[in-house]
Amino acid sequence: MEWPAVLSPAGPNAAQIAQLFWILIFVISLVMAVVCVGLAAALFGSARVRAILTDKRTILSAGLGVPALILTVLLTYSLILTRNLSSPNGPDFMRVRVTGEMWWWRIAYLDNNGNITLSDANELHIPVGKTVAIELDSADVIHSFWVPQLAGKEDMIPGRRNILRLSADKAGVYAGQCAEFCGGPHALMGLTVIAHSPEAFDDWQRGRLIAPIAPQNELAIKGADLFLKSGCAACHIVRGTAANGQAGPDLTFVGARLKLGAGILPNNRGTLAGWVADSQAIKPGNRMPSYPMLLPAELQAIAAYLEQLR
Amino acid sequence: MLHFQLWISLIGAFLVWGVHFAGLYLAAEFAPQTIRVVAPILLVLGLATNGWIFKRANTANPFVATIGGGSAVISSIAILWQTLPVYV
Amino acid sequence: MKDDLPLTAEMANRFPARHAGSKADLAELEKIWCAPKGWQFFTAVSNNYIGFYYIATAFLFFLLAGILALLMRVQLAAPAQTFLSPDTYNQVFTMHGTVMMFLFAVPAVEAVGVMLLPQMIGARDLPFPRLSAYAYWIYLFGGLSFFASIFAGLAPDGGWFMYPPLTGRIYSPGINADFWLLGIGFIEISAIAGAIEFIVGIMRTRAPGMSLGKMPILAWALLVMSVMIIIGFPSVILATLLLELDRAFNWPIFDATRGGDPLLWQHLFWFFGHPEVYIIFLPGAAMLTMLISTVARSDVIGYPLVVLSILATGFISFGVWAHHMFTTGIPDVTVGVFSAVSTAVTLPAGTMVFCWIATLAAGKPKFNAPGLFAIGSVLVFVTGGLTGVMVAFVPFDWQAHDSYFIVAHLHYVLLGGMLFPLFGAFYYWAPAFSKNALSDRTGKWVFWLMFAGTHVTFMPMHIAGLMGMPRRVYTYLPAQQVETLNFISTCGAFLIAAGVAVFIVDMIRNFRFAPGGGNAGNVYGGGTLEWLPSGLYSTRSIPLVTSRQPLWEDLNLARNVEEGRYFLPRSATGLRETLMTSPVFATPQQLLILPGPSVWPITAAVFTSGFFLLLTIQAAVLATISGVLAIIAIIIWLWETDRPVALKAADIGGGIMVPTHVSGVMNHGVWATITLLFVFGMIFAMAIFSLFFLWTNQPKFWMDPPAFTASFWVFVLGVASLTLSLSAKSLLLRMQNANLTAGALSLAAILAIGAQYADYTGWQAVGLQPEASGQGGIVYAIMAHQASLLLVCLVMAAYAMARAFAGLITKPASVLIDICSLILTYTAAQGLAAAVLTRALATGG
Repeated sequence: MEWPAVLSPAGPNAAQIAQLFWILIFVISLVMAVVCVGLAAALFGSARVRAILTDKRTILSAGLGVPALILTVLLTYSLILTRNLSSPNGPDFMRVRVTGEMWWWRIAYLDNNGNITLSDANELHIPVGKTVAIELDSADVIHSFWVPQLAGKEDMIPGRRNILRLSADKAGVYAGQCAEFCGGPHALMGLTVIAHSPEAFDDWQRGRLIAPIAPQNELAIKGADLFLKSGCAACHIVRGTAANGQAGPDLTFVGARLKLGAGILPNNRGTLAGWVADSQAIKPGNRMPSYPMLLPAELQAIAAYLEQLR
Repeated sequence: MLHFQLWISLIGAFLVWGVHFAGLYLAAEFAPQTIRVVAPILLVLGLATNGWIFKRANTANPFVATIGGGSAVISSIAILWQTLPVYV
Repeated sequence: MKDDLPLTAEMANRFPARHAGSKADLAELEKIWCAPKGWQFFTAVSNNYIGFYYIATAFLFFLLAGILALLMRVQLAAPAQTFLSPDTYNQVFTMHGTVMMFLFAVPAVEAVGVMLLPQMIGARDLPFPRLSAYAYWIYLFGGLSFFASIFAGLAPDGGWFMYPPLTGRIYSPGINADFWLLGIGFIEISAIAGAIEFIVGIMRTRAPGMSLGKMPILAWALLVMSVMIIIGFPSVILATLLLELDRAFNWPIFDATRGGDPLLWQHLFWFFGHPEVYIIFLPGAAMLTMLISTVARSDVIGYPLVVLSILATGFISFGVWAHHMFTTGIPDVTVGVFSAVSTAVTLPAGTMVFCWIATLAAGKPKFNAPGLFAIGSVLVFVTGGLTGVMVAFVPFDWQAHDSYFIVAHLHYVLLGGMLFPLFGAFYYWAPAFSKNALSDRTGKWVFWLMFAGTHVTFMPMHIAGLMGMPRRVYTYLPAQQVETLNFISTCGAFLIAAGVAVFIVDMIRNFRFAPGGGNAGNVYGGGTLEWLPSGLYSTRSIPLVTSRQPLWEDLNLARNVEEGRYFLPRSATGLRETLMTSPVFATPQQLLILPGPSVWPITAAVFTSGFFLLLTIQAAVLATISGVLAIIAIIIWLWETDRPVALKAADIGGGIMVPTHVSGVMNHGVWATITLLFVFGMIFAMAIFSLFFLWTNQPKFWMDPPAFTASFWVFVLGVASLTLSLSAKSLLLRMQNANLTAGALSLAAILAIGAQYADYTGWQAVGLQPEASGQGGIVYAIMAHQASLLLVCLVMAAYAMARAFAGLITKPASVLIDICSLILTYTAAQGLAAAVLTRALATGG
């Protein structure tokens, strides 16, 4: 088993919280030890020790005085940390908007004026070392954005826009999950954050600005056709094609994602076919209907098409 | 007279805390630009009232003295602490 | 004896009396207090019975909610299981939280109060026995029908915290969420009824000499708890009403797109929700204190400090609600203030813990079942308290919030702060109500199983939370690597269940309910009054209290009490009665005549529950009929009470004479009314806060109010109504005419209705509609609240008229007139305040 995510931070925000955790756990262990020793002394101690414990001065100093001193220090430290972690951006940061939807994440990369440069879903790419200001919106109910290795969580509340600032200091893949109960399959509303080195991030971004090339092999061409015919396009967009639905996740680069179904399945042709055939069995209650009417060959074709969207 | 001291000590110091808290909360939430003016005034008023309560509660009756003195102390710590976030 | 001064030494020296009470008097007491027999048992109102039913019902709900917990643990024992579907799981976790909090924990501590408090403070019963009965039955009927919703798959599924918009009409279109609002409605009624009983009972019916500084700690905790209920519950009452208006009539109070705000719900809910935790914890801590004191056989060391801690916790708990909202993006300073207050609340808790340790150190603790539960409670509670300190610090809470770390934290606090003390209390106090004591040996088994189970279940959850496992998930994936931890937790849950099962076996084998004598008695050697020999009439005579542990101090006390050598060794009026004493020093002031068994409280409860249930399933006509029947039942029940008493003053022993009837500010009914008006006042205050909150957060949806100048009739009629209702009391005194006074009250009610109508037309004229915006929703909600109060006033005025015609209004002063006048005065004043504030909080928007 690995070290718990909260305690293996991959960015300065989470690292400062992890440090606070270690200080707190040290202090409370100490207090717990004092209480246990006090209790043991009260039950089994000598008359002299017990007399000390019943002294009002002992009660007041152990129960009120000393805690007040310790807590004053800790409180001040935590308040300073609170301010630091939520203080405004420096001049150099990247803007992203993540919108919580039942039960997936709509992701938009923004330029400095707030215009959308790139749309995606369920997978957030960030460059290492750069502050990312994530604007948190909700399309329906309250969700909460939580990637424990990078930062604490922040809620997505209809009618409000919260901003979470975080950065990664090493490249890697970090799992996140919705942390505010949002009904139905809330348990399966996962998110993946991928931190690239700055150069790799630039490459990735350039790759994403051009639409994927049209399907090449026969199976994928058939799949593309079926994709449009079967109604997938009513909800999903694949840029550069007739598919222009807005209700569901953007599938323009779905084949490139590490995970499927909002962070829950590995992404390959098999899982793609399985998801299309019966997403309701995999993630009961999600907004995409199962497609039991599609024949296995048709599913294979659609999966082949989706897989090469990268 | 004992009654007065008893009731004052039972609820007085915590009412001080309550008023201080409510004032600070309302200022922070709804008029943040005033907080740096409001906070010190509330703090001084609160501490002064608690000091007065502490003195009044210091009677021969140990029940009244402990509760009055204790609530003034706890209330004062609480209002000092809740003023901290305005400044750090 | 109107002044609240200690009993004079001369009077105190008359007790214990030289002469014992007569056998005939005892026989009469037994006859007066005897319980209804046979099929009429459900008309019983005495706290001996109601308290027992209450605690048995609360325990039943504990078992039911516990079974739900086991279902969840089975589902989570391994990743990606399908034992429960997501929909079922969401219902199960919602019901587990709701039932544990609202149908077990709060009623359980109230039940302990109903069962123990009167005897513990030397009263013969609670001051309003029929109200207790009504509150109990409504809780039983309401609770059972609410729980039954899960069998139909209609149980609420939005979490016990019910955050909109998820629970609003769009995302929860079924009636599941309505069932939650219904279930909470029942518990709101019974909790507030209980709080009123406790406040009046504790402040006014203590045994003579039991000054505030000599009250048992549990009485202190119940007093503070009751005040907290009075302050905290109105917030959730308002919140549930607003959400129901949102759901049923599309008033967009929580809809951000139309000038509402989902965060408003969170503020209202947690303003109640966090104090709620202390409402449960304080009586638990107090039971724990009393257990510790008995097992160590020492008076509580630092008794004033424990009282101080209880008071401090009670107050400060109202300043911590937003620590449930650290991640909602509220401003830094606000967050910091709540963090500071959340930190401060640990100071009284710390003080209390060291008082417990001191008390244990002062005596020679016995490791019997109550002793083990007491010590175990301290350890479990401190563990939960310390993780509580961690999450009080904002940055760490950003990680821990809504993760399994919190699940672990809250269960440690609630189990250590309430459940373990309660089980200890079961073992400690069972002999007072049962023919046999429970088995101490079995009790130790129960303790060790539950204690081990608690750590095995909840300790791993801390780590699961830190690994990123959020709360309220119906499953998790293998990739999350939390299966081992979850499997251990599941095993632990079954250990706790095993402990509870052993407890049930012990109950079945040993518990034989023996109300009114024949019980096992003071097995553990407690020193407080509930351990005096007693019958259904409580103690033969009400002792004079001179210390906090009267039975330890005066070894002859039990015998002297039993021989009737103290207060009230007989019934002076031939009716059920107890002593009313002064609030601080508990000096006898008055004889309080208590009502006896009646079929009407339970009838009223049936129809009240029927009203809410039928409303929930949208049977409006039947609901109205049921509601009217409920009001009729309540009127019949009241009609029998507050009768003129022939005997004006009675000898309560030692030649001390007290009046049998007092009206005005010292009357218990007036105290209860004032307490109730405080509830209404808090509901109103929270409604105004809601208006203010939306006004500052959603100004662009705001519209101008009717001008003050155009609201002439609102204020004229309102002030007229206010003046008239204020003068009712002096009218009766001067004119000695009951008909005229009742007529004046009726006119006042009609004037207030006129004022309300003028207010309504004013808002209609400016074109504000309730569906239009958050402002509309709240303004009309305030008017609806006012209208329902006016309906109550109308019914009361009609009742007063009827009493006047029947010649049942006492002169020159009448409690009924006092109470009607108070409620009418309040209503008229609230109407005026509402008219002013809804207009003032709309200008310049």
